[in-house]
Amino acid sequence: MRLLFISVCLISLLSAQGCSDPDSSASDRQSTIMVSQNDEPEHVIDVNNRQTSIVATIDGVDISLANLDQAIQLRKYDLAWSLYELRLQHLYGLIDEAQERNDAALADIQLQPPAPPRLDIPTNGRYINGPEDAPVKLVVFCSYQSAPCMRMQPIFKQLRAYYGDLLGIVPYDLPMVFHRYGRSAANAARCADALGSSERFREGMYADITQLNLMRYLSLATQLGIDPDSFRQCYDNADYDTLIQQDIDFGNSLNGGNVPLIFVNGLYAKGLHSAETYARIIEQELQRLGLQVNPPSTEKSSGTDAASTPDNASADTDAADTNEGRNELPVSVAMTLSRDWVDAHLLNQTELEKSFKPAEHRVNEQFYLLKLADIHGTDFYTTLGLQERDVIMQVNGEWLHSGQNTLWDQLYTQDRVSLVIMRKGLPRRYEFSIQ
Amino acid sequence: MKHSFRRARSIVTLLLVVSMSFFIVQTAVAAKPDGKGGNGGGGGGGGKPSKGSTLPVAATVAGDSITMGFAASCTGNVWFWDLTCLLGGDQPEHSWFDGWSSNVDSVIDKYNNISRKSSVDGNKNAAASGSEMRGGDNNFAVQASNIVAQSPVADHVEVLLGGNDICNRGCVDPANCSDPLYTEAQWRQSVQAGLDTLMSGLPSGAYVQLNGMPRVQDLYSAGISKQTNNGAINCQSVWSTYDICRIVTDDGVLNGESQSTRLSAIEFIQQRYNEILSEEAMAYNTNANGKNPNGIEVVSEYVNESTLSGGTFQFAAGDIDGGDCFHPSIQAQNTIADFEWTANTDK
Repeated sequence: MRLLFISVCLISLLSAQGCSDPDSSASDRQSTIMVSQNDEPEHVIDVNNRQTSIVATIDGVDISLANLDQAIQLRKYDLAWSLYELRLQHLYGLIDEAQERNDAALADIQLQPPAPPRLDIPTNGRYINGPEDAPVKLVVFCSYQSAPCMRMQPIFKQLRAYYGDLLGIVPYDLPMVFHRYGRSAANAARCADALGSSERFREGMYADITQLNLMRYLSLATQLGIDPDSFRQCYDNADYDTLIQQDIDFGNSLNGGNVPLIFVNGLYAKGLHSAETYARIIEQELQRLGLQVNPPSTEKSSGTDAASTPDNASADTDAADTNEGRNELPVSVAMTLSRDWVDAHLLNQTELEKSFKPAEHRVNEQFYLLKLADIHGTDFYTTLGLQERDVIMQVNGEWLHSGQNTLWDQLYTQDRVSLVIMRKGLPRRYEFSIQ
Repeated sequence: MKHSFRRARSIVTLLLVVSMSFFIVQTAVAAKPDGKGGNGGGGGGGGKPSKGSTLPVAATVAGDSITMGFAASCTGNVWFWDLTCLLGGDQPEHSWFDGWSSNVDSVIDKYNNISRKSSVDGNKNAAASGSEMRGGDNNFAVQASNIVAQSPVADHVEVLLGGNDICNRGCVDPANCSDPLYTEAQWRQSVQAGLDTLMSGLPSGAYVQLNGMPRVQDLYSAGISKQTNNGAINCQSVWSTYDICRIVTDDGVLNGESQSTRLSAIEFIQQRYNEILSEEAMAYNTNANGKNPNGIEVVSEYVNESTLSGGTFQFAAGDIDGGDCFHPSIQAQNTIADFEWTANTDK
């Protein structure tokens, strides 16, 4: 009962503070908050002194409200955000009522969202995808076994392509306890970092998060020109386990919940967002720093929209309404391949082609769709993240079928290859950059 | 109406993402959420809420490709142009839950149709095509975790999972393959795993509705019927090529089991899965299991085999799309929305 009472008091206090607009004037604030629960005596807490208030003593150690708030500042912001949304929701209700009275009524909304906390998250000396001196750094706490983290990768890639040297992405390892292979995968990624191939290896791992195992890591490493023996030694020794644990401890200390946990120059960006949303936050940061975006060349590469504006990344809902059933398939996997590795495998094209078998379904009255078979142990396909029974539907926008297989030509001649496949009835889009 | 609603939402989104800046947004009232009218397809329980009734503020769903509106508008599959539709994958605009297309009267549409005062904010952020109740990386337990982590935390959660739990299996008898149908105990455990998370993470007084899992055993006959005398559709070759729900759609022997043997077992287990949903809803709702101390209302949409529901509805040719002959068509998305709305007591 005592514990419950303490919890209720704390929750009430946090709500009261967390839900206050941090920038609201002192006159807006009540001088006291009364907290009561059932038959318990009423407690009065002086909120003017709340930062130094001692709210508990545990084993002889005083716990101040400031300490407490510091530890839970992300969750506190989440609460403030919830209150903001509730207020906004109610505001819309009021606007609806006004609309019923007067169709031409205007609303002037001055309700402000709460400012997210900005944390000091070290980036110096860490691996960064982008220039070390990038003015905007997106710190990403992720796990290689996390499906949401996997889904974020194409977005990060798109942001990097768009903002160029203005943006760097700094990964932190935060495998969740339920990610059985998350920690060993993090170790593999660190080994690849140390052996000279960071981002491409990460992309490869995210290409198939259900295949986090040493055999695949070795295959990826080989594809990227990493010496497999050195990689194996690093991996087996778990050389980076201590550093990974430091990341985990730091990540857990932030009390931010599940991955992905993302910060833009330390600014908390809660949850999964679209490229468009991150772009806005990044641009506000650039504006704050007095910098301007110089969009990269709009020159289109075949089969990719990596450098298109992030605004185009999210499905335009109006367009979706006028083009129902013709939605753009989001990128499932974005991955970089080594040109040498691709060319070496293409020497074996005749053998590789044998894995394409005509499927039963016939299209345009004469062509059969092509399905991958007998690819177990085939380094080429497994490295690409393809699986037995995948139906390869399109390559760079062209249909693949029994009368046309342009995959090999595209791999030979293009630096970017986009594959659309069907796996167990669901489409997936793979984007390969060959360098 | 639909467009103005979406634009208004965009304005909200804009407000949300500019949380560091402080400027005044001026907007015409006419561009606010207007409680879009829908097409009047609600299945009972409609009308204005009684005075004093409270509608949910934030509604969300745990679901799979049905909820994602996958391929709902696809009408054919033997021409490349038609396959383009299938390759588009999810069609969130056609979701029974929060689809905004004028062709679908979704649950959120129905809410906003009865709501005078405020709109109900709906999302299906936790749902994803391919999800199962039990297996995979986005099962009910995972989706429940993501739901309780949302801000604001939802006060209305619907669950529609289970089709893939059957379709992804290889046989009905554990002696015949390594991935047989989940047992009743396994299914129950997975239902509980998700509900436990929701019970501990949702606010007091929230509402959870377990919607009946559809009769996947009807797929084969619906598909055969759909392709008959229709030159634009070949369901059998698409099922075979894309490995779609082969435990149901393969008309030959699979892992030593005939199709009739498999369909018979699936008929039984699909009913049991729904009965378990109903049993668990009761156990949580009454707190008979001691796992719902916060008074969260847990309701089962499925009642029994003699009551029409999403779990007993026998879908036919018009209820599956013509792309993969597997997912609900737009017509069926509306039907599902009607069933779930009818059972919904949170209005």
